[in-house]
Amino acid sequence: MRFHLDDVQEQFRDALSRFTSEACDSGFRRAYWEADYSNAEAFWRGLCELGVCGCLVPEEFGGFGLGVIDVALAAEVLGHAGAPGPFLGQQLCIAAVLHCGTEKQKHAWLPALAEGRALGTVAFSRDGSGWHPNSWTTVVHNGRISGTFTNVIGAQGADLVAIGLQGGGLAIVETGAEGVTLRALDCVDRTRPVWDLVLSHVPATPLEQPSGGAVFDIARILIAADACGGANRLLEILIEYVQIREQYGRLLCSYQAIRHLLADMVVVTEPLRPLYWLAACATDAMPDQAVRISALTKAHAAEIFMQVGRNVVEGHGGIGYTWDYDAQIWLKRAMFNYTYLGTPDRHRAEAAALMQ
Amino acid sequence: MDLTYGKEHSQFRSEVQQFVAEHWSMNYRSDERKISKFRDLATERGYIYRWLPQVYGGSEQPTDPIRARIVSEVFDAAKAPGEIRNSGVNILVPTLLTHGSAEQKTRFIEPTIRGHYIWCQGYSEPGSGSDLASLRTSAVLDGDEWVINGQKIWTSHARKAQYMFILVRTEPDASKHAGISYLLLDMTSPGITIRPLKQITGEATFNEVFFNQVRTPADWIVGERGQGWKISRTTMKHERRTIGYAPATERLFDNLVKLARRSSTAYGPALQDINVLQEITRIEGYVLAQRAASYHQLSMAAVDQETPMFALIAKLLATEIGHDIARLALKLLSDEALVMPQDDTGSRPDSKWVNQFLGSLGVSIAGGTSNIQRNIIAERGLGLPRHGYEQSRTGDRK
Repeated sequence: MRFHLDDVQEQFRDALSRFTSEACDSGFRRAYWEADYSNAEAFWRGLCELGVCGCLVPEEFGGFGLGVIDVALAAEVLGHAGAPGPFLGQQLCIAAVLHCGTEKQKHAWLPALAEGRALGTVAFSRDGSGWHPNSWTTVVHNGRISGTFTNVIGAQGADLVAIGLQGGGLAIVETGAEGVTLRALDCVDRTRPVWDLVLSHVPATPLEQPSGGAVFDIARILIAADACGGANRLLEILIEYVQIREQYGRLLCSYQAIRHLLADMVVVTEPLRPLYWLAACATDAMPDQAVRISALTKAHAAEIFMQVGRNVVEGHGGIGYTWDYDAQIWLKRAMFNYTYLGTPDRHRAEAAALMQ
Repeated sequence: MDLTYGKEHSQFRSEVQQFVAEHWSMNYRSDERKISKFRDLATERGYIYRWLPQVYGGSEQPTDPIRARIVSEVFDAAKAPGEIRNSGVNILVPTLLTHGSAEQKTRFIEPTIRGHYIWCQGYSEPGSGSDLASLRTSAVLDGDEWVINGQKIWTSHARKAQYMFILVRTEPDASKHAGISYLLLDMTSPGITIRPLKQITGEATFNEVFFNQVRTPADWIVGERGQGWKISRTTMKHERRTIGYAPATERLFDNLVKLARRSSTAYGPALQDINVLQEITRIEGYVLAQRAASYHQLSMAAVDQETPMFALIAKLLATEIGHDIARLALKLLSDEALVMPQDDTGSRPDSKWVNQFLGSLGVSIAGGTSNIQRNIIAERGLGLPRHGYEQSRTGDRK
């Protein structure tokens, strides 16, 4: 029994943390927020060089053959950094090819995805059908797909999109093909914008196995890991502020109302890390419980991140409510995590249906 | 990471299971002699009191939190008696091991862990609850005896305890924390009056204890004069105990699901009521997170590393989950909750949930209230300065 990180995992996490704390500073994040993407490519390349895209990909396809836990560690660091970019879509596209593709399909796509040479993402919900594999409705007709896919993360810039199909499988479309149109949305979380993707008779290659459930579970775990990083960052922001800000001649941190607010948030935030570790380990070690655990974990982590976001903005007073103060970035990432893949009640409903 | 127990520990588990199957039967549960005999055997085999030296009746095993966990899992599953869990074993024995004199250790530890000596804890006073260090019960040295005067309150099991460990003020001129000493006391001493206090559950495990010129030997002081506060704090930090909250919460949650299975709400069977299902799975998220945190604590303890923040939040987290469970249970109980639990629970099998509802409030008070836990988390966990004047730019101190 071992339920803490090994040296290699710690080194990976620390290297990513060091990189993001320099490269993803407030200026960079803020520029991206205001649609200045000039340094985004360099930041993404830096992440790729540290190996974030290769985690899940087996060595024979140019990756490191690591586990869900290792990608999730990266997701936590990036969540803490409030990092913008295509990380989430990329991992989910990789997971789709890995879990559903034939050997030939893996050879075709994984090496480029593992290096970050190709960018991928996923599109689950067609015409608002729903996020969960059970509610995917798309059908491939004569090798082609049509339909409007809502809220597709990182659609602009993606070379490949794994589209969720009726029955829980996925198909790959290449965005360079004719008939692909993007509609920009003013996404609440500008670090991870979503688009409407409109496909009109676009050629699609179905992946062989209908293992969309495994992809969806990984997606939930990555969102939970991100929430863990983000919630901790929000706490750090408030903890720092209350030790600088004075009112009535005293630092805010001396007021019991503030101390108790922080303590209550720590109590619920601190267990999020082992929780997403457990969910990540469960995908290999506890296959019979993995789906329930990932559902409960996503719902729990997203809800707590959201609540911490609200409390931290309020705890600041006026400055927390301004566009220019960085707390809004994580509040809005919390709003994204809450809704992306479905709100907590949907995941809990699934967990309840699977209750023995 | 690896959530399985591995070959060595799996082997150990089967060994313990075999031991329990051989030596324990559910029929022994009310037979004190069989219970003691089983405990002695379990100690001899190195399964319980692993942390305690053999000279004091322990089994003195190398530290291995995973083996300890396996033993408690196997014993619990068979409802076999493990280590005694009362304030004597949980609090006094570790305190004596660290701070007691050789005579105190020899005299008190072994009978305590065998269940021959029951202890009560003399900490709280009517005017000293959360602010325990303001306690006023005094002890004055008179020849070779301490003479104690004052009053303690919320003293659990005072009527059945043979001994008390007590915090008293021995140095009235010293500062608040430095004036306290830690004494041991025979509960049959003249001058002690015990008055039961009935709790909101209707039971009376609490008591008030009054001291009028009560004498205890001078060498029944643990540590030096004035060190009592420090000594009492070091035992409370026994952080590995905090891992134990998770299995207890999981048992409670499992029982909640069972209660839901046999309950109905306005929408029919409770497990078809989406409000109930949403609330159960919401609570389950917390239970799962707590379980994951306890795995991590255990795993870190196995490599001799501490997880101080988890230790600090453990009680408050368990308390909050207990509140949520209590609230949902009250709804599921429906009319059952109009009646206090009766001694004869045969006719009302769910009535013990009324005590859980009330008891969850007791949990949030006993051993440091939830608000005190929050203070501790803010101060020790987050390192927030308590007074906030030190860095004041305006400089107007009050």
